[in-house]
Amino acid sequence: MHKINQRKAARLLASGLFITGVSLTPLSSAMAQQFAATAFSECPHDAFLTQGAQSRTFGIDLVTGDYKIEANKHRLFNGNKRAKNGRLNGLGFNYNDNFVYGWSYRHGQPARIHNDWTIEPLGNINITNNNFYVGDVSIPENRYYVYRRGHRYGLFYIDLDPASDTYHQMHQVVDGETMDLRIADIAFHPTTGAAYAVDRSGYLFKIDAANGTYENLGHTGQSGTFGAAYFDTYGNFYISRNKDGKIFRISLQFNDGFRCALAPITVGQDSHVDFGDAPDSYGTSLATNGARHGLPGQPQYENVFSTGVRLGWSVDSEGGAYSSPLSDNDQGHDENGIRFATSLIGNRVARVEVQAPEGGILSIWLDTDRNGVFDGNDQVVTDQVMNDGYNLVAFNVPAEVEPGETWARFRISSTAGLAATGGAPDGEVEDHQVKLLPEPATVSIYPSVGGYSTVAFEDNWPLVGDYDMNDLVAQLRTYTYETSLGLTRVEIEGRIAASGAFYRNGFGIRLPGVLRSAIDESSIEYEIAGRKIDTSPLEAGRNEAIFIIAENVFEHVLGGPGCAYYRTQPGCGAPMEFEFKLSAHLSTPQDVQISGVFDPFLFATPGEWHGAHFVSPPGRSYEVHLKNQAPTEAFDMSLFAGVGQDASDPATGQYFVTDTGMPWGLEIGSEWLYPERYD
Amino acid sequence: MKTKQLLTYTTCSALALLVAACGSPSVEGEAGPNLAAALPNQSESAQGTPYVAISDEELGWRADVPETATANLQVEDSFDFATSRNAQVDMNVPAAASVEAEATFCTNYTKLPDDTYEVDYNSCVLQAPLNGGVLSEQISLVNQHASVLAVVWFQDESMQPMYQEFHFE
Repeated sequence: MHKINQRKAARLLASGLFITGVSLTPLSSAMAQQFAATAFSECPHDAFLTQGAQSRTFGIDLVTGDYKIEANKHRLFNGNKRAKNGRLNGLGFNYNDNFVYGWSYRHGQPARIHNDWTIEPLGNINITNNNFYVGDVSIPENRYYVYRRGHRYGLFYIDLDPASDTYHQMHQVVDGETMDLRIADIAFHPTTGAAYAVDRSGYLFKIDAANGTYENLGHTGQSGTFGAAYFDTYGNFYISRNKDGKIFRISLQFNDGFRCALAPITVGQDSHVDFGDAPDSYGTSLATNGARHGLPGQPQYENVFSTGVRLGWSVDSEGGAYSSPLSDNDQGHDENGIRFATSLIGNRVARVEVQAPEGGILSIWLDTDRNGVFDGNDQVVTDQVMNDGYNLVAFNVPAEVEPGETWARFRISSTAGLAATGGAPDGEVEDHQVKLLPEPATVSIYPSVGGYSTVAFEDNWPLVGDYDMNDLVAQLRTYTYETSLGLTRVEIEGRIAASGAFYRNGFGIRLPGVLRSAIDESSIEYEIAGRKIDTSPLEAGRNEAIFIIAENVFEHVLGGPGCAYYRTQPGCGAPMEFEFKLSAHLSTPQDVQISGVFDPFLFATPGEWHGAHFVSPPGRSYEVHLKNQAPTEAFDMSLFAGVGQDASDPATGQYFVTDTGMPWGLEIGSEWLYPERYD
Repeated sequence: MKTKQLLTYTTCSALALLVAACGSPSVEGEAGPNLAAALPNQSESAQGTPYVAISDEELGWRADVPETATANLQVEDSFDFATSRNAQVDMNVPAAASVEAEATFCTNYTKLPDDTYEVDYNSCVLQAPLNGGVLSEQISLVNQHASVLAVVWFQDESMQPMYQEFHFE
C-alpha cells in the first residue's frame, strides 16, 4: 500500500497536480520535499551518455570530450531500500519539465529520471512487449519517441504534456517495416522538431516523426553503429560511433547519448578549456572543431591553471579560441611551454625544448606547405611520451617545405592518438608561428628571439620642443639570413608602442647599403595586426631599399574617447594594436652587413601640417633618424639649415644632433618604458 | 604643474641613466637650457629654405619648458647612443668536422653541476651551420650582455649537444 501511494504521488507529481497533492496525507512532509526536488533544476549544460548492462551515466563536456560519472548506478524509484540497479537506453532531456526520459529495461517501460538519477517508470503503459534502445524527446511536441526496426516494432511516442488527454499514454506512429532504418539512436532538432539519424551504412536520414516518413539526405562518409546522436542549439548534429568511440563533430566516447538540445554549447569565461591560437583554417575555434583541452582541477588564480598535464608552468582557460590575428599568445600563460632550439630547415632534424611539468603524450604538426591546414605529412611527432620537466624533442622537417612563415601545433594530453583538431579531456594546445628555411643559413636575430628593441623619436626636430621622446615609440625585432654568398633575406617584426605626437607622423625603415633593385618585391610579405597587406611597403621611386611601415601611424592606432594621444596618457589605448611583420627576399645575395634595428626613422605624413615654422607641410621630405644616421634620399637636405637646436653637419657625418650633442631619436635594446606625455 | 615636473624628471632621469650607461657625457654646470634658441628670422635665413620666420613667443609652448630638461646634458658629437655592438665568435668543433652540425647562440643560460646548461632559447641571437666544424660569425649584441653560450647540435640525433661559452669585454 505504501508503494502504491508513492507511485500515485509520483504520477500526481508528473501530472502537475503536485501543488494540490500536498493534501495527500499518506505523504510525509519529508517525502514531499524529496519529490519536489525530483526534476532537474535547469537544463544541464553538459551532454550525458549512459552505457553498460548496469547503466552508468556520464556527464560529457561537449567542448572537450571530458567526462565525469554523474550516476554510477541508477536506483529504481520505488522506495525499496533494496533497490536493484536499473538499465536505461534511448535517453532524452525534456526542456518542458526538466526531466530526463528514457527506456527502462528492468521495467520494460518508458521512464523518467530524477535529478538524483533514480528511475521512475511512467506506469504500465508499454503497448508492446518489447524494449527500445532508440529514443529521444521532441521538445516542440513534448513527446518522448522510441523506435525499433522490424515488423513487431516501429516508431512510438509517449505524450509528455500534462494538459493533454493522452498524457503518459503510448501511441504507435508507424510499424518497423514501413519505417525501415538500421539506426542506433535518434536526435530531434531543437526547434524544427525534425528527427535525424545516421544508419549503419553512414546515410543521414531526416525523419518526420509525426508520420514516420523519412528522407535520405546523403552519405556522411563514415559508417558503423552510431549509438549516440545529439543536436546543439545551433543545429549542429553530433554522432558517436560505437566501434571506435570516434565522435564526429564533437568528441564523445560512449554508447547512448542525449543532451539538453536547447542548452547552448558555449564556453564561458569561467570555463576550464584551453584553445589554440592559429588561424581558424587550421581548426582552432569550437565552430571548426578546433583543438581544445579540458583543464581538470581548479585555477590557481583567475583563469590560470598550474596543475595537470600541460605545456609550461601554466595554462589559461579561454572563453573561446583567440585565433590569429586575435591570438592571446602574448598573455604569458598560453604559449610558454615550447622553445625552438634550432631553425626549421627542410630535410633537417630540428630540436624543440618542451616543458611538461607533469609529463604527458606529445604530438606536433607543422604546416610545411603553408596551405593553412594541417594535412598530408604535416604531423612530425606522434604520441611521444614526455618526462616530467624539460624534454628535448627532435623531429625531421620534411624535405619539401615552402619557405616562409607558417604554423606549428603542439598538443599534450594523457590521451594518445589526438588529431590536429578535436577535443581532449586534459592537457594543452600551443600554436606557434614559425619560419621554414629551405636550406641551412646563418640567422641573426636582434635583439633576441623573444625580445624587442625600442626606438623612440621626437618629432619637433629641428626644435628640441618638449623632448619627451615619445612622439613615436616602436618596438622592433629583426632577422637577417645569410648564406656563403651573402645576405638573402630580411625580416622585421615590430609594433607601435606609443604615439604622443601632436603632428601626424609616418614610420619607415631603411636597409642600409641595400638598393631597392636588390629586393625581390614579389617575395615581400607584409601584415599588420595579422592581416596581409596587399600594397607593397617597399617605397616606390627610390634607389634605396626603404620600407614604409605606416604613412600615418594614427590611422592604425586609437587612443580612445577623449584621448589625443596613443598610450602616452593613462587610459588611452591599452593594447598595442599595430603589430606588423615584414619579410623580403633579395633577388641575389648581397655582400652587405646590416644588423640591429637597421635604420628606423620618423617622417612627416604627406599633406599634414607639421608646425608653423614650415612654409608648407614637409611630408616625406622630413625625417628624423637616430643620431648620426644620415637621412634617406627622400629627405630635403635644405632642412639642415642650422635652424632651432639642430647642429647637424652632413659634411662631418653629424645628423639629427642638437647643439649639445643630444639626439632626436633613441634606441634602447629592450622593451623600454617610455615617458608619459609632457604637456 | 606638479605633474609636469614629475614627468620631466622621469624623462630626464631615464635619459641620464641611459647616457651614464653608454658613455661619459659631460654635463654643463649651472648653464641654462638652450631651449629658447630662436628660429632664424625672415631676413636672415628663412628665405630659400622650407622654414618661415617665427618667434619664440609665437611658439609659446616652447618657452614653458622647465630648466630641468634633458638639454642640460651635453655629449660628444661622436657619441652615438648605440645600444648594441658587434661581437666576434669563432668556433672549431672537431666532433663536427665530418658531420653536419649547427650552433645556437643564446644570452640567457645557467650552467648546471653536470656541466650541461639550462638555456632560455627565447634569448637566442644567432643560429648558424658549422662548416667542417668551423664557425666564424659576428653577433649584434645588446650592450647589457657580456657573454653568450653556443649550443652545438648534430644532425645525428645520437650525438649529444656540445656547449661553449664566449665572454666579451
